[in-house]
Amino acid sequence: MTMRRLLGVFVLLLMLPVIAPAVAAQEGHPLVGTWHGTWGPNAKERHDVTLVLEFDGKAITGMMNPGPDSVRFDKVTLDPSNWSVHMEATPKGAAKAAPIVIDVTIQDITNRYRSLVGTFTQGTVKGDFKASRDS
Amino acid sequence: MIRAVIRHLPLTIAAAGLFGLLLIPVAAQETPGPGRAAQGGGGGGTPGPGRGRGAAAGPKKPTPRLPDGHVNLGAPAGGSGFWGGGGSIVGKRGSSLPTNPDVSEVPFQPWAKALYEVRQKVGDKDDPHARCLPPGGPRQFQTPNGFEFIEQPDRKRITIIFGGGPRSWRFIYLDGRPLPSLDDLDLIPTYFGYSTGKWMGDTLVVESTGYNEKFWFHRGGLPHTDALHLTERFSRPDFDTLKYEVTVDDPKAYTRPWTGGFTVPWTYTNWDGSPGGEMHEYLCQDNERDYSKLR
Repeated sequence: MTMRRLLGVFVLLLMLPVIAPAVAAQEGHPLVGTWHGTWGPNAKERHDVTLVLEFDGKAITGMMNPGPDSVRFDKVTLDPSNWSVHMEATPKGAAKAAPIVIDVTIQDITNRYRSLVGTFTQGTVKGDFKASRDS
Repeated sequence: MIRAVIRHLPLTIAAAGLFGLLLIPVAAQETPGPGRAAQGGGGGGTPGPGRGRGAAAGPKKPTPRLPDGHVNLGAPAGGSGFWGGGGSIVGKRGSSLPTNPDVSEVPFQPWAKALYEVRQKVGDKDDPHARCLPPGGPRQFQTPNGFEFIEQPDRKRITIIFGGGPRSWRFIYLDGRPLPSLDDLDLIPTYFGYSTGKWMGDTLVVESTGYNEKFWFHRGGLPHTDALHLTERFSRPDFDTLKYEVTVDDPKAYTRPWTGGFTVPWTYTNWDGSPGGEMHEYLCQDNERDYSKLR
């Protein structure tokens, strides 16, 4: 591969993060899509969280951490008057643990880089939660 | 006083010249497209039915027809011209249809109403079209710089080319093919969706579905989802007027289907107002200077 081709590939790789966000924009229901973030009781102890949310025209459904340990939400509600979101889930099987409650607000609602900010509670453990929409 | 002005005349002339030079890039960015007057959403300033942009005064010219008798939505043989920008499918201002619902009558789902109201307050800063992404649905006819119908009977389709935004195009198939199913996992949602059409009398009726959610389908931010199904009706009641009417059926965003529309004027002039009626080369990306500030 010539130096010029290598340079071309390098420039293309540099451009990818710029191109990707525009491709990923989602302007429909503000909760629909995949959200990545963390929760934890303090700044040092953080746990990665992925949410996948859907809307069928009546109900919001979805899951947390897709994969073998995924947890489906029992209930997701959105209050459009203040963009607050309440989510409840009961871990089952191998991931059996205390019920999870997430209370967040959608920040910067019209922006494709909007985020969910609020609290994550599992049993007696409570922490802050923040996730950004990524697809 | 006069003496002071005369003494500083060279400086004044130089300043005026510099001011003029500074204006040039601004003018270059704001290309005065034929449909720019309709940008307000209400279609203010857009010529009404029967008064095409640049048309000579006089009685309305009849609807042009093709040899097989159906309405010609384009320029007649040997002629030129194209359609300018349209109004709004909500409200009754300007070139919007008098039968349109007001915003308060649009059957929004609660989330869609709240989102629309926020978009109205925030303005266009988060509008994907401001970043030159293509606008599907009625929005494609609200964009400055016009559009043109190209009939392709040999391919049983109509192509609409758009002079504004990212200079895109759309196909309407007249070969009787079915619309794709939204349940088809292989369906790739697109900005312009998938369109099939048929002539019903003098009206071209077009059904479209398969839209993505990466754009605002109407200026001002009426929300839609991937369930959007549009039924568009194009007619040409006289030479200078295109009547556009669309039924919006999106059960994820609206509680029931609803209908609105507007008229679009035929444009006889070029972008600079000179006679001709040719769409000029305009590329949104060439003038787009806001992306870095909008992130």
